[in-house]
Amino acid sequence: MKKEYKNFIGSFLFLSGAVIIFVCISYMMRPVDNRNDGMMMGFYGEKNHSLDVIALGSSSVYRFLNNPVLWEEYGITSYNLATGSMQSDVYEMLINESLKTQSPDIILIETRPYIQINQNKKKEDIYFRKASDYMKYSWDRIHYINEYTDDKEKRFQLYFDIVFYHGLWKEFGLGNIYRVDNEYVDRMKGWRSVFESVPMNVPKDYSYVSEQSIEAEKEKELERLIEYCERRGVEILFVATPWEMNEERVAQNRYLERIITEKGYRFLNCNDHIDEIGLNYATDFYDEKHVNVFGAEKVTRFIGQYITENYDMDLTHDKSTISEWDKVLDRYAQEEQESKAEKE
Amino acid sequence: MAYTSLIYLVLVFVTFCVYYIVPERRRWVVLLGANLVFYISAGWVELLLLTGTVTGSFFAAKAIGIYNDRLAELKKIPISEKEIKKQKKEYYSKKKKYVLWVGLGLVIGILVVVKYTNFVLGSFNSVFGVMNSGHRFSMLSMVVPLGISFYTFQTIAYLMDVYKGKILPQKSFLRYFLYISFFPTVVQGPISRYEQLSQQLYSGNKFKFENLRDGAILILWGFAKKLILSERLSLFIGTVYDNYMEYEGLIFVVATIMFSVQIYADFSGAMDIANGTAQIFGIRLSPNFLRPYFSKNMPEFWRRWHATLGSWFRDYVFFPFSISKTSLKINRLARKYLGEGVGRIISVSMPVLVVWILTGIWHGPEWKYVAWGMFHGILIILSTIFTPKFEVLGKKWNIKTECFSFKLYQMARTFFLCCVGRVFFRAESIGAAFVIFKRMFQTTGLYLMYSGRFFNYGIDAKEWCVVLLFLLVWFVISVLEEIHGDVLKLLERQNLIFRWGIIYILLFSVIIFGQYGPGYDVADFIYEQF
Repeated sequence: MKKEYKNFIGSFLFLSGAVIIFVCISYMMRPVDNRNDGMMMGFYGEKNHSLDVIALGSSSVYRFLNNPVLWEEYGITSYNLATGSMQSDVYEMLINESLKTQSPDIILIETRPYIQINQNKKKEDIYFRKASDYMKYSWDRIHYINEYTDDKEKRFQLYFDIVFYHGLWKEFGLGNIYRVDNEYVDRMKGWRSVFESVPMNVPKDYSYVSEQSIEAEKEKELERLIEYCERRGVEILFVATPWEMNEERVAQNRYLERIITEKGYRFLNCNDHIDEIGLNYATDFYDEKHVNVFGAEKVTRFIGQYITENYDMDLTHDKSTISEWDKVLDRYAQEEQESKAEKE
Repeated sequence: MAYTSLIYLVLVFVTFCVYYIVPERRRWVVLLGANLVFYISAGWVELLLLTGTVTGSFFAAKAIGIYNDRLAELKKIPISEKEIKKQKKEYYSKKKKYVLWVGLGLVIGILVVVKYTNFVLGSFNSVFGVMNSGHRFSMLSMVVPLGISFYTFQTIAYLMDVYKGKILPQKSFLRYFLYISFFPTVVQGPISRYEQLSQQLYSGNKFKFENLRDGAILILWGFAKKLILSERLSLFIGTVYDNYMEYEGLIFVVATIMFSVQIYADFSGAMDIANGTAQIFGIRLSPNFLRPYFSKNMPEFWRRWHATLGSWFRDYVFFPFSISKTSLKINRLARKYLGEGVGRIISVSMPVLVVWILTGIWHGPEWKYVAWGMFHGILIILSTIFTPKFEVLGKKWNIKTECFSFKLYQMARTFFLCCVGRVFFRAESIGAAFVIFKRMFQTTGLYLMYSGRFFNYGIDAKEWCVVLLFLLVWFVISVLEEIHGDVLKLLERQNLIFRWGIIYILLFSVIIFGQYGPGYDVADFIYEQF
């Protein structure tokens, strides 16, 4: 073989090796705060095409939708693809990514990000990073990063998150090595429980409130998302989980409900069904925005009931999936027991 | 455009691709284009000043070349016209010298004005302050072009070499511009001689895989020195030196030793990046560092540290000054009135002191650099005077000077003296340097090192582990280089898995342990500021 060819092949192999090692190291260096970050990694750890429902959102999802209960009560396999303060601009990216390995009957979209406007959060990259930094490297990821920002330097840091996280080598441990393929098994399928209980004020009666439009930018995002889901043939259910209401939030939920239903999609506003759900403001919340484990069980049952009544779903699963989910249920039961023992 | 920035790597990559695509005879144009992109990124005013220096020296050299030709033609004049020949020779020589001085005046003038005006004004202000005079000069806002000290010295060398007839002046302005502004070297050197670099730049080198591979490894090694070691140590050294009134004792010793390591890592790292970049284009630069901390005495240290600056001063200041009429006159007078011994010392000392004061000033417009330069000058003079005496004593006391332990002692002594000088170099002023010396020895300050406090001075225990591990690896590589020469050649002889493993480890060590990224501004290279 000519020396030139040999050098070319050698260089190609060397660079390929460098790319593979780079990707593996990048994945391993990603920080995972099991409380609310890195759920995308746990999602990758799910068996392919095993999920019936994927729920997107912020803590308004992972504190509300109790996946073990959804399995126990309705036989629905689900995953909360949610991170703290997730913004609605990442929904399309996450749906696109989740459809690569799953074919869910329903994608549940929590609507709080459409009405909860926080100018600072919009400016901070951290909320985008919480989603993008845990995705596997792909052209789609690059595409969505390019859509997110025009700033070239920022793009570079988002493409290669190791630029951001390499300083965490000091905290590197065995757990990092297991994430070499950017996957781990999320023991609770994205559900995070809080057993603490803090009494909340019973909300006022806002039945007199009429509609108030949401921010134009957010409305565009919503329209784009619906168009995208239609293109991909994905069934979506919009859900507003219960939290502290005020006139503005109620009015914006009304507006959301109208524009979503006009487009032919369902919008389940749990805040309008507090009595049906059976939520007790004295015992079922741990702060004004989140329910605790007791409230979550009630909300989950309500959502589960709604899904089974309104959607025609094939809930048959193979043996290994059933066995895996039964283990999840056992873990949840154990967690509950441990918590009770701790309190006593 | 910092050498450790991504944009620099992009520039090198794009230039590399274009360089080997275009025909060989046009390849120098690609390098010229890259130089312009590199320098324009620093600013248009900087480019204008660089162009001023290049233009002035180009035409001066051209004029000197014309007089050289005329002087050469005089040889053809028949011996019968001896008188006319002599007259013409004197006339042309005088004109040639005049043009040289104009050229030197211009390039040195630009350097002095932009770099030293405020230093001079500030010094006058200090004198006025001492004299209680109310007069004060206000400081000027000056743009100091990137690498002006380096390219000015390169220009001076070129003019003087043309003057001496060692080289012919370059006919093409653009080619000359390329030589002066070659982007890997324009900021921090090495200070390349025209006869050594020019043909490599103009000839259009053929692609060689080995050049690409070795160049890339050198760049990577430079990145490692800068980002893993120099940047990390700068946090510790900055903490101690910038708050010197809060510390005392041993911590200054550690900080000073570490500064010696940092400045070596920083500058030699920059040289590795420069050499590596040049090598990708098939260009070999003069070596600037030859493992200086293995030196056994100060003169040797300065042959191994920033070697191109040392040789520049030797060729263009030391020798010309030593044989100048003024110097010879002073020597004669000294020998006549102070005796042969003292006269000899003066004749040795004067050029050395001149060189070292200029070396100090070259590093920066501050008195601390002058003090640092004088310190080294005095050390070298003392070394020259006392070495023969110590050799006699050594023989008398039967001290073995060829054994390892004695060489180790010599290396430790040289390193120690070098560290003493570094205090002047790093301290914020001469006064601060003396305060640091005082605080260094007034107490052991051991309490500052106990109970984990040491790990709160900018870098923690894990960071120190990285520093020490890197130092160990670098030491082993340096020893291998001392024994075997080029360590890349040694690596080339190893099995593929070992070779690739080493390069992968280096690459990913830079990515993981390097100090860079959001929230962290990589500091300029230390010598970039000179």
